[in-house]
Amino acid sequence: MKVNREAKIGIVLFLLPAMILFIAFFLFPIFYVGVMSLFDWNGISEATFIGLGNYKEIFADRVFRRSIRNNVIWALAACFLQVPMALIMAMILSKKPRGWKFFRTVYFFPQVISGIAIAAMWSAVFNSEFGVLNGLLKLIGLEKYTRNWLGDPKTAFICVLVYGLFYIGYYMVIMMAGITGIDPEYYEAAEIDGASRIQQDLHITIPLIKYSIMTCMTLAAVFGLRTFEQIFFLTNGGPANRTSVVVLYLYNQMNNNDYGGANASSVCLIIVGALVIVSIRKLFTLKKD
Amino acid sequence: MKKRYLALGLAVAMAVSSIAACGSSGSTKDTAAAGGETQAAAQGETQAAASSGGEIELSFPCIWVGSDSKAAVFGQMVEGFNTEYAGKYKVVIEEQTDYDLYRDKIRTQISTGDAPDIFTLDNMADLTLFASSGKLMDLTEFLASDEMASKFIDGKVDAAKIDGVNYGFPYEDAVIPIMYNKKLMDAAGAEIPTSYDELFDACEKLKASGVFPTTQMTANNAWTSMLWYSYAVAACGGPDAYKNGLDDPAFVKAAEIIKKMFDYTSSDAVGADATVVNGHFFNERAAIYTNGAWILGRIKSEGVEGLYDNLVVQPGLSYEGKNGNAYVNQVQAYFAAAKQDDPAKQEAVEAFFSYICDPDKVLELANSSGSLFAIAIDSTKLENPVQAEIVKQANEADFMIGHFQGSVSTPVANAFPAALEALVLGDITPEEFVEELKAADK
Repeated sequence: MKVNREAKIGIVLFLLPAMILFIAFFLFPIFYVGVMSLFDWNGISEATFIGLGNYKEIFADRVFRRSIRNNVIWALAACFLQVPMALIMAMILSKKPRGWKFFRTVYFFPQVISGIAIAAMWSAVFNSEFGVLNGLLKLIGLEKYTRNWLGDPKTAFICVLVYGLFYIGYYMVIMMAGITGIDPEYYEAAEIDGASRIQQDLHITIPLIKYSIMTCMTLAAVFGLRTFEQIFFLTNGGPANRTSVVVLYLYNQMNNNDYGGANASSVCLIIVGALVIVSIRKLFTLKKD
Repeated sequence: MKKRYLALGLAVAMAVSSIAACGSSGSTKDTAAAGGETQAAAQGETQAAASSGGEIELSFPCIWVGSDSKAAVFGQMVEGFNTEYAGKYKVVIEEQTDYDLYRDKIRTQISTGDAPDIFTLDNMADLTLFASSGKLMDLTEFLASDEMASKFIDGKVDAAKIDGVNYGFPYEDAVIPIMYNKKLMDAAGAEIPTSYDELFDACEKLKASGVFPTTQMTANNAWTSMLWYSYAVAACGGPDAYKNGLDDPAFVKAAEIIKKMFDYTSSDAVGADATVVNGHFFNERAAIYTNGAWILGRIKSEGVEGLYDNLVVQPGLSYEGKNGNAYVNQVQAYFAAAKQDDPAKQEAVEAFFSYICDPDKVLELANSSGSLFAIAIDSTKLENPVQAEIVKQANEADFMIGHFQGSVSTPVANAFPAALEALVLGDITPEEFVEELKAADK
């Protein structure tokens, strides 16, 4: 379709306000973070240009490398555990079994509750002295397995991951919306051909909501990479930085008045984020190309 | 194809920009700067009002509000000042209930040239940093005046000088005793210890009696464990322990002591915060505890019945027969002010500082809160016997020494909790613990 000159001007004019805001509040700050990552700056005094000094420093820091690794694990867990769980729930609830509205609300519930409240609840679950989990283990005679779940390096990261995995409601709703848009005639035809429910889901539902799944995986990866409040409130990166993530790491750098280092960490996070997002998109468009 | 890449690029930029927002101190600065312009305009109006003889308003983001033990009486002090200077000066309190947020706010305001008229901070490292901005009021002359100098305990104001200049002055001065629950100690057959050997003997007995001998924590700033470590440093290194920095062997020896102390604490100590630690001591689940004198008010009001009456306060313990009877103390709050172009506004700030440093008013504040101050008060008038005992013991102590957090740089203090966790979990040795702290001090 050809677009005439007037229409082009209209398109530009309509896009301009959003574009200006996008540049002012997103692109410019990213650029600014990138520039300031090359400076030694304590947030108060004059900044001093040190080139890649901040990057050398953070990559030499074991805690930063561990934080990046934890973020990648978190993002992968979100993509390959959270999203599939949400997909299964979406496929089940889309068939509208009895009480489906109730379960849809229940699974979405964690999204609307404050993260601090949920963290407090999980702290109570994992506490070694009065926690529900240890209490349960003692009750069923498994006292030898009781431990300080969030204070033990072997279990701390798994515990915070488990807490994060409960946030499936958002992705479930996105995929349910995708499933609702599928023409019922496909299923009717499949049924006539003798396809089972599972076969229908595998060969009709999943391929047709491929882009909803991709959106969910992209969002899950981004949320995983910028994870902060769960870790901050539950373990504050402990024990001994075992559960630290990059945003917490840069938050601590700011507490140390090392704003140059914090900006360098941000840039690394942006690069990792971009790589993950591009990889996910590539994964989903590979077949098409 | 081009369009696809353009769309892909924009999608990536949009998604990652949400990440970038988390670490963008630059954007915060810009936003704050925009806000700063509005506030600067408001300040300009205030200055105009001042020069035209109107009431001068002073902004004061205050942390002594809400449930803070000093809130009630300090609030009355501010009201008293506003009444006494009605029509001339008015201090407007901005309530700050979250200390971390408060610190961020002050730092941002100073970096954007919009320091509050009056504010407090809790360590010399921050005062030095903020002073380097050139945006703090020089209080040297004011504090050296006869009227002000006579109000402070000798040497306190001088200790807060940076290159001979007072950009702030000490106000709340924490004295930190070791506290024992005598009832639990007696029940376990344990004596109040005077050395670390005796302490560990007592811990064995307490452990056998079914209570947690000590309270430890590693979350946030690992506050009470940091205080235990400070006492161990004092015992191992004496009054000059911090003079040689972290190279002093006292820090390694103290790390061995603190590691052993974690054998005598609750199972939730790693990852525990102040609430957990206080809960154990206030509810008589733990027998030995350390914290500043300001906690006395809470022990009285929140502790189980009889706890306060069973409280025994003591100075530090000796190590290998040396350096006992020491007291850990630290300035807990410094007052500072923004540099003022208008002399009338500077006078208003000075009038307020003079008012809140009045010894009688500070005595009332000490009595109501359990806190102690850098202002010279008549300690015989302290109504709280435990508080009076702490002051007496502190005056008789062989030496006073600052706590670890206040005696090292901010990055070292911030690295302490994680290093402590690594130490007690056996990831690192006491020597490596100290090396880890040194590494944080770039």
